[in-house]
Amino acid sequence: MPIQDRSDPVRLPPGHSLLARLDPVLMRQTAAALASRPGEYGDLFVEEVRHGEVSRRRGRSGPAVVGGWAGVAARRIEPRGGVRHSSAAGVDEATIGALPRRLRGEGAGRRGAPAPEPRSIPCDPHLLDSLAGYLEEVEAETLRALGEGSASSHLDAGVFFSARAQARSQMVAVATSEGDLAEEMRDWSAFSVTLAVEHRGDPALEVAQAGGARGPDRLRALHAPSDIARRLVEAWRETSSAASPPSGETAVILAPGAGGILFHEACGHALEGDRALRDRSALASLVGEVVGPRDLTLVDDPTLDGLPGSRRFDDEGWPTARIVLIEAGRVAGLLLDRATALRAGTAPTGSARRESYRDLPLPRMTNTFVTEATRDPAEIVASVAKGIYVEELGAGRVDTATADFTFRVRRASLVAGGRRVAPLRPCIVSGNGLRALAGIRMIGADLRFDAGAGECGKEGQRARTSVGQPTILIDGLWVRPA
Amino acid sequence: MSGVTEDLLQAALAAGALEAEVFWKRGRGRRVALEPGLQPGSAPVLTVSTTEEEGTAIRVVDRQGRHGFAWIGLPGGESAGASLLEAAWASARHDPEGGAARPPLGPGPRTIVEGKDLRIDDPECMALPPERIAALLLEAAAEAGEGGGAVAVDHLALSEVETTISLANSRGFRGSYTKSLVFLSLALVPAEPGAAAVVEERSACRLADLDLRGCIRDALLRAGPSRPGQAPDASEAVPLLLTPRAAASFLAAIAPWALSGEAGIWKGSSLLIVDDATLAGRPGTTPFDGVGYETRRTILVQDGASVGRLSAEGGNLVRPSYRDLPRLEPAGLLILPAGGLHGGLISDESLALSVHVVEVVPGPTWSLRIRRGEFLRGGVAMGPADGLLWEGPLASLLRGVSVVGGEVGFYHCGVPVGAPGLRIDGLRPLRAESPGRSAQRV
Repeated sequence: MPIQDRSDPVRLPPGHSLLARLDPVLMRQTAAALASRPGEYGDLFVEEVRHGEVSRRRGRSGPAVVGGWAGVAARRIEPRGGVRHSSAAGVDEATIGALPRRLRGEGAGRRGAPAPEPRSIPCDPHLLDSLAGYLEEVEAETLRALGEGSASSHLDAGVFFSARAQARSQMVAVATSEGDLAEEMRDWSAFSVTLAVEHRGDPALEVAQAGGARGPDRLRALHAPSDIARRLVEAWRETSSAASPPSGETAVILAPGAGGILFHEACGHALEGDRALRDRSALASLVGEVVGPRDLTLVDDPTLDGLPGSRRFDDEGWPTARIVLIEAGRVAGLLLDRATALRAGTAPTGSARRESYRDLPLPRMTNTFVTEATRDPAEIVASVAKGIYVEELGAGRVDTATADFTFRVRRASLVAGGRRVAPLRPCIVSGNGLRALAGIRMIGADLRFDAGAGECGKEGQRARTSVGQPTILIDGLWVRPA
Repeated sequence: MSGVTEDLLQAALAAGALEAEVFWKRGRGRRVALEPGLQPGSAPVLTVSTTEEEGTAIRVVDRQGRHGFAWIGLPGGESAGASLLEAAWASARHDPEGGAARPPLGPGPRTIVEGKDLRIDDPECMALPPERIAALLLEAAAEAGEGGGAVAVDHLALSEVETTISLANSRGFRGSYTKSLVFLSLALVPAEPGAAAVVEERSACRLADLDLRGCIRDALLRAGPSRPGQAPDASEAVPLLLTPRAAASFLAAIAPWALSGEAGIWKGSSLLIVDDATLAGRPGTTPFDGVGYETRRTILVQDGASVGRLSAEGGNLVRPSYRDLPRLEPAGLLILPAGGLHGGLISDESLALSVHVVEVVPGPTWSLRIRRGEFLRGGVAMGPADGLLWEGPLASLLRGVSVVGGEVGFYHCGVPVGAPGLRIDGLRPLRAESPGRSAQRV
């Protein structure tokens, strides 16, 4: 793949632009100086982050936090794969100019002139007001919904409500030794709400989380407080009357959006270049081979608008693109950053992510989902004589080398005679990723993404991600009570 | 003492804060990581990463008693003082409850500049050039790779960090210290069926105190192929002799219980569990906590009973970063050693089970899965005991601790922990773990 001309970055408004403060020529020159020998590659990553969060427990606000950081990092990848990386706090031309010396292990030298702009964390009071108001409304709606339609007053019972909302704004600029310069602003906000109700001595806990919105206003538009309250209370009522889950091998229907995390963990991580190229992945050794039905296609797409993993370019400045990981049932591709692309002898896929300027880029997923097929979701449920319908998956564990996985099922219902007949208590679903892919029987036409609160951890770095999938029927998974 | 803390503190008070506290942190670090080459005989891939960071956090209490918290990650926090204060006031406006549940501001007049002999500052931190560190790691990787061919080295990394902390509050506390930390991580992956992928870690304040060979030995033990053991006669109670490494896994698993303050009383338990931020050279050791209280040893569990808890004024508030509010967290969990030598855990000629690797899984029913063990009779190895399983209540597990060894090993099991060998009696039945899952079909 030829190097694309990305020398003309999209210009952002001055208040949202690092390149309005920093000299693009200096950025390019510094990046070029990082790679001084043939075959070397260098890049410069500049970041400024503003963060605000509020929390709330029943009727009371919790600590509010305002913060921000700024920093720069330089990296050189050597022809044989060795990497040198150096980072420092501060976004100013003196710090940037010192990076090539730091990378050579010569220290930072004398600190240069003061930053061209006052160092500050511009605090937007409306941000905290907006987040706090949102949580207050979610709590009021939840308590109202909890008191409605119930013979006994749940408000008399022990009700515990807690919530946390965060908003973060990240300005990123990347310059490379190949002459590229790009910048982008990535806004993100999310919330988590926990409702615990003690009823007849039996506490039941429900959690709602969502995010991915650009700011608090969009968060409210996407997730109205009344909708969150309704979902929480419905889930709690279902849990209160839930039956014991079955044990053993069974058919599992993943509700749309509910099971994407399984594909993220069991397939996506296995196809990240660092694991795949080191022979630590059961799936990567099957590139080109059929592992699932013809209507199974799994993609990672950071170019979709408004999802948590969305971005125009990755954290190495490479343009993002829709990457097909499994196409028509056949393993088709890997997620590669610069370092793993060098090992693979190919071009990167725009999949490099870093939690902050302090961290090295890693090949990672963004928005990962199974594409729509053709089956009517109702037809899928109707085809199952006995099984479970998974409405929400919780935490899980996957061994990418063997593809064995275990997930907690937070919400599910029993399927019998082609109908969902009763809510189930939480259970554990386990299996092997390769056998699960081979066991996919039907894929629906109802793609849905999760609520957007997902956070993926890898090598100590966190990254916001989203997952999605249409209704999917899988045979041969194992279920047991949690 | 950083001028940043003092200047910002005075600025907050001048701007009308009833009380204030400034926390400043500067750190520099280096990580050297080694990945063996992709092809046999190919050169390993070396990654060297260095970082410098500086951050300042401020907590203010306004005239209405509302708490505000703000932080900034930039060098020279004084130049950001005005915006930091503005952000803290904005935070306080969202605290209508008057800060009742907020972390306290800390002690009154006292100055602590690291003076105890805590051995937390390594003059040699990052003194070795990265090439020397890489050579050390290469040697270690070669040693780990000689583990019989059942496993391969995925990566080996050594991180070194040096941090300087400065803390000042309006009650008169002033404190500062410099601390170093080294962290070793060895990841092994299976090279033949039956072996396991493991990550073994060690941490210490000084490179000289890092047990590189012990890390390799324990990683190989954990990753090697399982050698299935035969369950003993169910009528025979077989004492389990946990090595210090296995006891450390045990401690990490029961830590939430030990910290809960809800420990029941189980007569016969010899467990004495403490949290200790004063142990020389240990990663969690500091002269004062995240708000300025002097650190100390907190006895959590004694003779199976909860006798203490971490407390806000007990030197137990931890600040992992300037970005975090102080929070109650253990600094270094430790099972205190008793007189027993490891050999002394074996009392007679009867059958015993020496446990090198154990997985303790909490739940309504606790399970203890022996991943690597040996049957012993009179101290002589009688055969493997891998894959044996015990399930039962936590009380049985704790009550069974009858002898505590005399030599503590320090490990990193997600958190830094220290433990001597333990003898656990009375666990039965031990049975072979089922290789498959229930065959029952729904």
